[in-house]
Amino acid sequence: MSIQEKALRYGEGGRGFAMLTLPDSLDGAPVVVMLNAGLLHRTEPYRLNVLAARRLAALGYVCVRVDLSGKGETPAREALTNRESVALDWTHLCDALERHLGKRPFIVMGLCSGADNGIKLAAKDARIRGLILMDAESPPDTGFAARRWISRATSWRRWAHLPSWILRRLKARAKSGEKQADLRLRDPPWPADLDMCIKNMVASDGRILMVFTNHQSDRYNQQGQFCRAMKVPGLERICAEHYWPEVSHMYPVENHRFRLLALLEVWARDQLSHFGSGGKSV
Amino acid sequence: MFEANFFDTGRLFGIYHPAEDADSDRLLVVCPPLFDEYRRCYRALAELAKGCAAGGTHVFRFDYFGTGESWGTLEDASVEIWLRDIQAAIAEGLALSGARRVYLLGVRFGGTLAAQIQHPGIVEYIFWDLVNSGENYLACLARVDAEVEAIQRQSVYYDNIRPPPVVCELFHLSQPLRQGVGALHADLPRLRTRARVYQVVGHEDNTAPDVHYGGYHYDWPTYHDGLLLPKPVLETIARRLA
Repeated sequence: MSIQEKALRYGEGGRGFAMLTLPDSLDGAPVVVMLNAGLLHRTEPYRLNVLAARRLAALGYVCVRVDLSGKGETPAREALTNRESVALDWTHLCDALERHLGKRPFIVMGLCSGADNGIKLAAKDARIRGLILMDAESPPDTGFAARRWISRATSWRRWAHLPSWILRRLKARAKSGEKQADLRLRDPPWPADLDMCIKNMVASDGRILMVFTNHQSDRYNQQGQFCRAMKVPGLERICAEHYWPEVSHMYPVENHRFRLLALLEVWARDQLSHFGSGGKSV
Repeated sequence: MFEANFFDTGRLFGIYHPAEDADSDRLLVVCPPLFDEYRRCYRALAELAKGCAAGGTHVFRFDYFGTGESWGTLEDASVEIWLRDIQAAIAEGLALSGARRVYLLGVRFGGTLAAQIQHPGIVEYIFWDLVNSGENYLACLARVDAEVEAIQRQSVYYDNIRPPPVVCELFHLSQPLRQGVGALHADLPRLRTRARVYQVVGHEDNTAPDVHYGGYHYDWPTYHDGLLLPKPVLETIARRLA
């Protein structure tokens, strides 16, 4: 088994930067595109993308760790919204990949805003046949609010911290009187994007792996919620959904990253033949 | 335009930023920090490299074996290997650039490693928030791990979750690696006999003539998800090389 890695330039004048991980054989190898998580560069968080790319390449996938505009080595684009910039980067990246590798199915992998971008792209691009989404947006299902209420009402630690929480809130209000700045850095997909993305995936018999951590506990609190809430017939058949409430959003704990890598490996091995063949050798 | 490639028989990943003045004699080799600190300041080092290259200094950045995009895992890494990696990075940078004068930049524990390096081409050691001793650095890592564990415990208990027990380490360091890290310290007086030393620090109580306040204080041994792009520090380093 010999995996190779090399740099890939994409975009106008090669302004964009990505790293390709190539498996032993390129015959029929699908392409996993790993999008940036938030503002982090292509290897992160905590080298997760590097280890994932090398494990997936050992199974027979081509992997691409990409720096979208404004991240890692790729300069920012001026005068474009995040959505426009990501869409333009995606067009150029796909062109570069198809030049190097021929036409192949794409699987988009992303954590946090990487998942958001993956959903937005898959809503519009039929070449995307798979999604690996970590802490993606999820609509609530009918039982979500009740589950959340029960969880909070029965948490003695929440009750124990209630006085200090109230005190902090009062102090903050008295101190400033100012409205807190909205520091939301995510640019989540619109409900219509999510709907279209999932319908496209089901229609094309794509495959989805989703992992939710405690970061999403205000939106997601039970395994299976996403498929139930989306109400798209056939979604359960193509979507593997996991809820890991003991895990933090960016996977700072190494053992949690190993757990994620193991899950990813098993899922990718099972889906490799499904993602099919096609493409040419380089 | 930078060039990204594997070097040292393909073990290590490096990025070379050629100087705008192709005849420049100066090469900056960047010894990055490790682990979470590298994640936080990666973009800052990329921006610094671009700025220095535009200002007329060739720049070579690289990842130590078992970190970043270099091959291997931390299990296979050691301090001896990382010191050899720095030597290999200097050799690669010199070969690519044709420069003769090396400025070795070490960030945090990357500085502790850089301080061990002897090379005839080095004219100056530049440190950004140098960690003076490996023991201190291990204490920093332990503090960050403890913070992660506390955050972990708080969030799961709040939601009434009983998680399976797990060791809360950002990165597990083997005992030999831990010993190697702990044994290092930056002997600056000795270093000053070999080459110039220039330190950029995050506090104003400078105690030596070669210590400069970077205009920016940062509490490194703290866990958070964000990034670090301290313009004043980058400008201070870039000005030094201009």
